[in-house]
Amino acid sequence: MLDFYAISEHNGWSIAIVGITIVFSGLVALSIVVSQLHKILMAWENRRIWLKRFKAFLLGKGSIQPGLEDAPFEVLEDAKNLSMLAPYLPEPFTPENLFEIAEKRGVEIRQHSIHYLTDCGYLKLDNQGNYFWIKE
Amino acid sequence: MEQMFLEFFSNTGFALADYRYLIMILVGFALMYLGIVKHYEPLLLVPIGFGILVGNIPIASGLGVSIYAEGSVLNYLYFGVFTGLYPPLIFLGIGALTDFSTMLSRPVLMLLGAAAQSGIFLTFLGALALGFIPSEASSIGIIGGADGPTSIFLTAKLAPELIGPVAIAAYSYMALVPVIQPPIMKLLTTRKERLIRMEVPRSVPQKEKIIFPILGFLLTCFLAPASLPLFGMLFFGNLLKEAGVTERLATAARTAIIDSVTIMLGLTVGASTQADVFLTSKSLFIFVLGALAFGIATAIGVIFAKVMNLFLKRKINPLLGAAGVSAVPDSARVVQMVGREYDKDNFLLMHAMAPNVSGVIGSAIAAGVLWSFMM
Repeated sequence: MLDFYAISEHNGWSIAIVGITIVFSGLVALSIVVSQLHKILMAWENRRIWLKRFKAFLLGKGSIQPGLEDAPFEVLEDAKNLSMLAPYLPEPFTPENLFEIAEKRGVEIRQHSIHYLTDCGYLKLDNQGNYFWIKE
Repeated sequence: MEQMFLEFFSNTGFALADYRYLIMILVGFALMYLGIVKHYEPLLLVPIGFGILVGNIPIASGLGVSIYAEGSVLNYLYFGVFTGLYPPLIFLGIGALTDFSTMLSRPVLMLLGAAAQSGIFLTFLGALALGFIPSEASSIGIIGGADGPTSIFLTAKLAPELIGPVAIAAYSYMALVPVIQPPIMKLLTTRKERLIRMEVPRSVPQKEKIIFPILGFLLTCFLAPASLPLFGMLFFGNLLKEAGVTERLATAARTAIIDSVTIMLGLTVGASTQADVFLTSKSLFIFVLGALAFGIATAIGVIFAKVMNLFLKRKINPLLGAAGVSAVPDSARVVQMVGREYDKDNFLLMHAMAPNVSGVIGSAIAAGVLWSFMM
């Protein structure tokens, strides 16, 4: 009843292989774009710092630490929320601890804000993925 | 006068009916029963089931009221099906309903959506081997994507004569996700694997959610331009939802528009299953192949998740692979249901939505690819 010759006759094997490959490539490409999207956005958010660093580099001043004055609005919002949550967080804390407590308290803390505050020197990240407070 | 009565009686459904109409009416009852009593996809199965009743009232030829009679009311409503108008409108609503956050926070889960689409192409091969011509085989294969609108869209373009059986098969299997998938998922996973908990996804900034539908649209349409009507509407609907300034339009898309189109699509697809057109050996093969396609897609998704675990540091629960078939959100709900059978505190639903929505994208790409090959 099954006629495998019909598959070859209609070029079925090639259509199936090429089709699966295209679907996979499409979704892999989309997943790569998606995985980089937040990094590109973060770089855009932090453009003032990058610009400062670039200027410092051109002037031979070495590296500079960003300050909260350069921070985008969302990071300032998150920093406020974070300081509000600080008494409820363990020391050190993991991003999971933070997101769990933030969700319970109904506030949102963005991942890139944590990176920003780490860059600013308010938080410190160890190799275990734990965060410590450095500045109040 | 007696002659008039006899003439009238000879034109009634009672005189014109034969066993085929009765079989189809029973099928209509079965679908309505599943929708109303068992709550399997009631929004689809109730209109389709009732539509089957509408389509299987025996009508004397020349009366011009059947769905295939040119100029009849039903024929006008059916216009949206055979021209492929309704599926993109449904995609608009789906886009306005879908939250892509979990997919954006863990894009690796999109691969599960891609893997499950292999079922489409394997069924395509099976249909070719059973003697279907390539355009028909493509329409049958797409049932494995478990995406009703995409199945109708592709079938309308490639094999319009098969719309009835393909649509009924696609929607029936979508409704039967809670029956078909769990045994396959349990068969292919160990208890230990089913207990795996997923890490909390990162929160996704609004800007990312706004940019995604634009980038997603451009990328997918450049890759598979034939799927433009589907992707255009899906991502446009999502942009309306996420933009934050078009809430009224998003609300219309996810309520009034999708509901109206679902009514017209369900009813006319059901009505298109006129016994004399529908009850053929081809329809039977389509149902068997559709079930196979669905099962294969589920199995490949689960197996692919297990393969991914060989390479991932933070393991994923392989049950998520079953959500790669794009029955949104039913297959994600099934993943949650099966996961919670083994660990009541394991919430997999939001994680399963990632492969689930990427499955929608994957099946639409597959439809575009198949269409372009058949042109």
